[in-house]
Order: sequence, then structure tokens, then C-alpha cells
Amino acid sequence: MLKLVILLSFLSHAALAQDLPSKYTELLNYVQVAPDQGDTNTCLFVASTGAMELIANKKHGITNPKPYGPYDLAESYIIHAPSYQTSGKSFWETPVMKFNKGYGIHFADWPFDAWNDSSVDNTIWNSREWRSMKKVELPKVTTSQLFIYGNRWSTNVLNDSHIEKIKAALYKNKAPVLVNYNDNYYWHVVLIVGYDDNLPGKCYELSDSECKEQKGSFYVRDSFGISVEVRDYDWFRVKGNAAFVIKEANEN
Amino acid sequence: MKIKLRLISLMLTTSLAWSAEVKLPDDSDHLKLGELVESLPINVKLKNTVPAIGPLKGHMVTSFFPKSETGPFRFKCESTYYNDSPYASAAKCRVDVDVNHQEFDRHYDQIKIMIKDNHLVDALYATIPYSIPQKKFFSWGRDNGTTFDGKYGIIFHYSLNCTTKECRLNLSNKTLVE
Repeated sequence: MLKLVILLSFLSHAALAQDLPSKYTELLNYVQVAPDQGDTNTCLFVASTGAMELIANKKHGITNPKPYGPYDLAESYIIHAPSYQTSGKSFWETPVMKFNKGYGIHFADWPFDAWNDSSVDNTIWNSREWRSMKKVELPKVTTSQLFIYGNRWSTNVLNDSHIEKIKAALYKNKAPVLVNYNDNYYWHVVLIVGYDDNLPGKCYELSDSECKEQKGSFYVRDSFGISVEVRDYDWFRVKGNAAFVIKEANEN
Repeated sequence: MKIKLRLISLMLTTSLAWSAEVKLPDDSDHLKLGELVESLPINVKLKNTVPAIGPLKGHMVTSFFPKSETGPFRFKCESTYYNDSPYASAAKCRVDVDVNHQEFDRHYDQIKIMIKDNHLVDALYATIPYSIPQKKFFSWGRDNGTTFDGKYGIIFHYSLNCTTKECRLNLSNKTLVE
């Protein structure tokens, strides 16, 4: 019986891998560069806002979006907006669902600046009178959980099949994947926006023994001032623990 | 003898145009600075092929900012790309400073260089995203130390603070190699 389960698991994994192209990079065209979050502990809001921006840019055909473009949204809005349609959703999925009120606030009206000279600027956590601000109309989104293992700091809980799951989700949904991983003992949330099986990437805090397979890389939209990073699949296989698709609600 | 000394002096002056290098200890610092330097409109950009990794064809883009080799600082970044990826798989940057330059100042754990050249300021202001009206670009890596004004706090391996009139480049001299 166990042998049969292993065989079926292997076959489904192999079939999944076989159906996928060796790379998927379409979403890179629609990534809105993230502001530097610095030490403000706002990664979940920055990543969730980035997912919404990407989806809106893609829907409206806005490629290579510039800072302050039409769908450059205020990260601080979803810190303060009330929860919306979050029944059955995890902690990671609830912020982006707040956009399902149908709108966000433009970045120009509610800027996000993590640094006051060289000190952390925690005033970005302060609420503003956003109800009177001009609204940016947005498409509705939905989320689906790919997997959660352990807690937000868990490492070494994934294997190659989880990498394949993320790749399949990116390709089939044409939508970003929000992921949680252990970043130097902090839990951290970023967006995965593409993959390439033939691209070397950064091993990101892994030892040589942990990052040796060189099977390919994800394109990652982080929030520390680099627009998109190329990170080896092993980075997420070792450090990752949760993943969620965020896509437009009326798309299949 | 005098002529020989003058020649040696001239050679030393030329070869010591950059009298110190600020080391960037973290990979992300290099990638971040590499992305900025390559995006700046006023730079020198060279493209060369690098050895293939199996079937992967690669090229390296070397960018310098500013163009001039005689200012108080210069960034040099080498970013390596493979196949048709629009993003670098790796980057290596170095920051050279001229400790004898009049715009160079050093106190405590930091170096400060004021950039007032309009072309450089305009290029930096236009390229650094967000944080209007003051544009800020900080290294990923940082440490605690005594800042330029004598206060104890966060210091960055590099930081740029720009207004439309001038930019202030701060560098951590904790890892300065001369």
C-alpha cells in the first residue's frame, strides 16, 4: 500500500513537472517596485499590496509600471482598512482581501517612508483619514492556500514537490504567489512572480551544502529596495513554509 | 634625481586617485547598488561575455558612476546575467573614495561626501524610487555605530539622501580599507 502511495505521488509530481514550461516570466512585466520596508515589520502589507498592484497593472495592460503610476497603491491603507470577506482565510490572506471593498488609496496620497534619516520611521503605522482620500478602483481578488507547514519560522519542512506546486500555480493562474519563509530568524513575506529552471540565482543565507543543486530559480519581489531578485529554488525549499495564490476573482 | 622623484610622485598621484575602498560585506548590498548604478542615466556601461555554465550563456555588465575618475567617489558594479533574464543572478560592486578630496569628510564611524554636481544630483534624484520630497537609498546591510553628527544609531554600509539640489553620500568607515 505504501509503495502504491509513493508511486502515485511520484507519478503526479512527474506529471506536474512535465506539463510546465521551463520558465514563466510574464508577470515580471507588471511588477510595481516595492518601497524599502526597512525595519518597520510591514512585509505582509507590502507583499499583499504588491500582489494587488501586479493584478491591476496586468488587467489594465500597464507594463513596466513606474513609481507613482496609476496602480501604485498605499501600503499603509491595508494596515488600517477593516477586514473584509475573510471567513476561512488564513492570517496571510486577510490583508489583500481588504481590497475587495473595491478600492485602494494611491501611494501619492499616503506615502510610505520607512526611514527618518537613518532612524526607523514607525509613523507609517499611524492611521490617516483615508476615508476622505481619493479611491483607486480595483478588481476583486481571491486567494487559495497552496500549503502551510509548521509555524512562520519553520525551516526544512518542504521538498521539491512544493517548488513544483508553486511553479504550477504561477503558470496555471498567471498570478503571483505570496510566500512566508524564515529570513535570518525573522518570519518574512514576499511575492514570487516567476520562475526559470535554467537560471542560477542567489542562495540567500544558505550554506553551500544546502544550496548545491542549482535546479533553477524563482523571481522574487522583496521589499528591501531591489526590484526583483533571482533566488535559487533551494532558498525556498530550505527556508519556506507557506504559500498562497492571489489572483483576480473572476479568473479561473 | 629630482626628475626621477617627480616622475615617481606623478605616478603615485595617478595610481592613488582612489585612495580607499569601502567594503560592502553583504551580497544584497551588491545587488541593490548594482541595480541602482546600472539604472543611472549618467554612467559608463560595458558588456562582456562570461564563461557559460553548461548550456547557460552569460554576460557581465560593468557600470561605473560617475563617469569622472577624479571626483570624491566612484561606484563600480559588475552584474552577471544569464540567458535572457532581465535581472542579474549576481553582482559585485566596489565603492572607491578619495580621502584627500575637498568634498570628503570623515567623523566617527562614517564618511560623508556631498554631491553638488547638477548632473549627478539630477540622475540620482530621478533614479532612486519613492520617498519624495527627499529621495533615500540605503544599503541592505547595517550596523550600529556613531553617526556623522556624533549620535549613536544605525549606520549603513552606504546611504544616499538626495534633495533636488544636492545628495549626501554616507559610507560606513567601520569596514573602510585603505
